[in-house]
Amino acid sequence: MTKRRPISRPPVFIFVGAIFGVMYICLPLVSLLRKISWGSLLSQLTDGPTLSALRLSLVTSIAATVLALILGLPLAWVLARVSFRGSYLVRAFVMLPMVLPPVVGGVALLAAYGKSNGLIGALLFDNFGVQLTFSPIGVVIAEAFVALPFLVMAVEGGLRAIDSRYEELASTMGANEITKFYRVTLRLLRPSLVAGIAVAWARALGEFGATITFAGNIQGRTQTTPLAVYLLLESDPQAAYSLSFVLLVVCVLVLISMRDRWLGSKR
Amino acid sequence: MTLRLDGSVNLGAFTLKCEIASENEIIAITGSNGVGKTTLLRVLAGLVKLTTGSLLIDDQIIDDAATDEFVPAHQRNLSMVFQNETLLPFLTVRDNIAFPLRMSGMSRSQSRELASDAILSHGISNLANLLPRDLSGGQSQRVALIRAFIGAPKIVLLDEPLSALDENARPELRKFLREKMSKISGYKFVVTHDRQDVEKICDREIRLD
Repeated sequence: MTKRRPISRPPVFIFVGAIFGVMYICLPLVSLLRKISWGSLLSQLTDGPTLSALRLSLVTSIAATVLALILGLPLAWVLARVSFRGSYLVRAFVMLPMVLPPVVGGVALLAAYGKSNGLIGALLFDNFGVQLTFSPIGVVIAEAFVALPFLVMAVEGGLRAIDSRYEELASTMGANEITKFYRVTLRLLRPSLVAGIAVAWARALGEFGATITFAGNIQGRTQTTPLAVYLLLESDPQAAYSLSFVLLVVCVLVLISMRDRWLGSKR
Repeated sequence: MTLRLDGSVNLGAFTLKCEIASENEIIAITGSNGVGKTTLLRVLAGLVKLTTGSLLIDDQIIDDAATDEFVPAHQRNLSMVFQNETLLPFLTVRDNIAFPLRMSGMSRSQSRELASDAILSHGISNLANLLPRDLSGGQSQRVALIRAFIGAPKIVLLDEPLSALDENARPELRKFLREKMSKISGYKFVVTHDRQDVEKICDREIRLD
């Protein structure tokens, strides 16, 4: 059953409100474009510290997305397909990083993985000499922390939308649980999975608060693109605009290419 | 050799009662809507577990509610044609037909070859590379029926197999079903509302009420 959508024209004041809503988002973005010196854009982006920030961002955001995928896929599966008491509580906690101030996330990560007094971090450091904070791995952990809910949301929605009768059909044709998962479920899930991965990646790429709190702001090591933008705004505003432009373009492209699929409903 | 089902499934409103089938008969399952015809097929397929009683095939326990013994669907060597959702939406007609062969361990190229042969012999070569969304309901049903007999199933379960087809396409497919199922030594069930199906395809009728 599809919901019927009203086709009547909304009142004028609704229209005006909606236009202001769009402008509220778009005006700063357009203003940003005006600040960019297009001629020197490329040279600014390939400048030493800028380039290293972009490179670090690319590597860590991809790693964070992989981590979010490894953790998020089973989680989304359980949330979508297993009914248990208190599942709404689990969902609430998993979605928490979406609304939690990222700096609080960073503080919580320090409490867990900090090398001197973190719950797990102290164990790791004392026994294996492994330090997660202020390292590229720390960046990955912080980014995955905030990206995970976006992946779970998209994949859970996708799993709920899959007609389980196709999976049953595959079983009757001799597909065991593993084959069924790879050849049918994952295949049917692909649009949502791709959407979830893309949105989680975009979120990881733009992560600021948790990263700076947990991993610091060490150039070439933990200084990702958003952190570099923040610093450059003081010393080299043109470079900051150029880097912002890159992040903006990536995010716009991701969201446009998703055509709302990351919400988990449209397919 | 017998199939013995004596049990029930709780699905809120109704329960199923016992039936016995002997090998090589083609059995029609009839009865009014909501009486549990499809559920019976799903129990036989292993898509639904019995909540009481047991299912034995050739004296082997397939499903036993008391001991929790259960052979899952993919180990039952069966062919099932659902009423809807007959084909996997992301595979071409050829790959849909080849799917059960692939699952039985046959190579990709060999399974495709056999599927192509079946497609050719049914005169639907023009459909071979299409996706299910490009087929009519009748065409999908026809492809599903071809696929049902591509392997060597021990249990055949057809749920309203001809309901999506035009009246004038049915006689030919009844003949096809009769012919194919006669060659299979195993247990064959056809859920139908159509008297013609009962008379032209099946040997015996079980009426559920």
